[in-house]
Amino acid sequence: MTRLSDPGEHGGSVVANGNAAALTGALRPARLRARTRRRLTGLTMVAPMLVIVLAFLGWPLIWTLVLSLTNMTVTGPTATHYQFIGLANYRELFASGSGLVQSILLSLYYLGASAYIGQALFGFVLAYLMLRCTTTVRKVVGSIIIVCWLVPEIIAAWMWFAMLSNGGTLQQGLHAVGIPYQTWLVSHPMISVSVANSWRGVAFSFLLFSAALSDVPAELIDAAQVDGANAWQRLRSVIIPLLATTILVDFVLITLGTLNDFTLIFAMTGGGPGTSSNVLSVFMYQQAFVTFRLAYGTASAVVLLAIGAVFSFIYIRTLRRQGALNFAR
Amino acid sequence: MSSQPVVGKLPSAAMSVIGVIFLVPFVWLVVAAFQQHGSLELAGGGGFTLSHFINLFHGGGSFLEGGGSFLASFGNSLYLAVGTTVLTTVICVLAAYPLSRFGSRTQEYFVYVLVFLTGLPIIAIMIPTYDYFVTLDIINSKFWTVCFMTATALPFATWIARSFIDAVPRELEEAAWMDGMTRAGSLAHVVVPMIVPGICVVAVFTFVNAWSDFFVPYILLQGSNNPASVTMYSFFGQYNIDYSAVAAFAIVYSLPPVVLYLVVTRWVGQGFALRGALKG
Repeated sequence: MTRLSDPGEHGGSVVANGNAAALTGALRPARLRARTRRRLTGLTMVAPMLVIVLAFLGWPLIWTLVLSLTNMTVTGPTATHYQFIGLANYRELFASGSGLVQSILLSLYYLGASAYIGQALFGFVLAYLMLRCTTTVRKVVGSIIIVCWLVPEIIAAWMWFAMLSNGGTLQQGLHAVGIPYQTWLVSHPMISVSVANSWRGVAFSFLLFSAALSDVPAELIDAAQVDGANAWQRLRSVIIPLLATTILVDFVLITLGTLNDFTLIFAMTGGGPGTSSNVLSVFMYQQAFVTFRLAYGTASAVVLLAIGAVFSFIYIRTLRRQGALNFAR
Repeated sequence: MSSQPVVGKLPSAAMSVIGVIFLVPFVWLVVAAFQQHGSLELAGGGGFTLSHFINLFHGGGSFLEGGGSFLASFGNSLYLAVGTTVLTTVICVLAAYPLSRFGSRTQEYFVYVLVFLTGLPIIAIMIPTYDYFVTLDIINSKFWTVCFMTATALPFATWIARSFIDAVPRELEEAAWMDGMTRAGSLAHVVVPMIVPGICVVAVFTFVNAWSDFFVPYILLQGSNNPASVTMYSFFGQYNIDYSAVAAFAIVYSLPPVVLYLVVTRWVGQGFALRGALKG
């Protein structure tokens, strides 16, 4: 590895800066050398990351765009001798009957039900209630919620799959409280996966909101109380505006997380029955690896990427405004 | 602090009920694992036994398809998770240092790109990655899968590591340089010791994600290279399944992330871990 050191530069320049001679032209080449050296040092240190990210993220990203313009398949003659077919994949995707529109709608359902209601809203309610709980409840229930989040996704999928299967504990339990006997994964696949995803993911929003809520200055709430604001008014006019950035960050992050979610639905329903829980990520997988149309599946991946890119962009802007990306410290 | 929200009986009771509801799937899992013949139902699985756990470590899993044993799939998970964690942690600290210290316009854009990559859905690039791995003939290789998983972990890890390095005062390093230390020396002996908690957060986060990852190994690995997540997937929708054995497997597989998280948050504090993981 290249030498990472530049002892002359900093050790030296700190001393030299106190000296008037440092400002004369005579030292300029030395300083220039120092800067070049510093850049080289920086580049050397960033290099391993750059190489690995470019090779394993950058190239696949470009390859995604390229592949989506071809007719490549997993097997058959077009597996190796594929051709560029322009935007034909996209035309087919956006034509009616392709299933893409249904998948986008199902993804939106999944986002709304499991991310926005089941995680963000529910997580906020949990965090709000938790501040009013005894220490024991806070510790025990808080840990339970977090453990749900830490368990590998495939295990969460397995537990919910078993509970909701024919003869499963939850199926029996729900029947016992008067809900018609049914195999939930078949009769209501989207509700099943949304409940499972809320159960699993609510901890993230809960933790985020808990931290933000405990940062709300007590004086502000006191003042509002003195002015006669009731609990709802305090929440709406004092707490929520203070949490605006946290709420936005939470929404963006859980949106990205939910769009990127594949395992839970794939394992629990496989997108079925039929295509009734075929969200975008599962749709993409099936086009590429079940019907073996690699390029066509990639085109739907580009749609997913585009949506992800928009939210990533919003995320950067939020962080920038918040000052989290500040450089001059 | 005068008006911390009043602790009430009603919220406590409500949260307790919610806690119990959240616990239901675990109750089923644990009961099934310790029953002799666990099933989808809680009752009637026979008496208490540890045999399913013992079997896991005695070449058990005879019903496992593809000939792999339970132990082998845990070994593969460990390889993927440890490999990814070590590579990611070392590379991200190295890269984060100049990004934190040599502030320039280029570096600023670099960080934007990192954050942007953090948000991109990785699943979307799995199909071309599969094609790419087949073309290069590195498919079904644990090593190259680790490289890919490292690449997916690095943007986020580097971004967090940078914010931890930002918090180390420059004066400390300058003092070390005055004493004749090199930049590599000050990174190793001044900066790194001060960001150990931060490095642990990065490492645990990376480990938990890699350990739990299903889709990447599902696409890039097969047969005897499959980690526990993919083995677990093979149990879905099977008939005549030994629920107790699978439940024991699931519990053992779930323990490392849970234990690691609890240990690290106890040590560095949950707020710290969270801040590291969210805002940088």
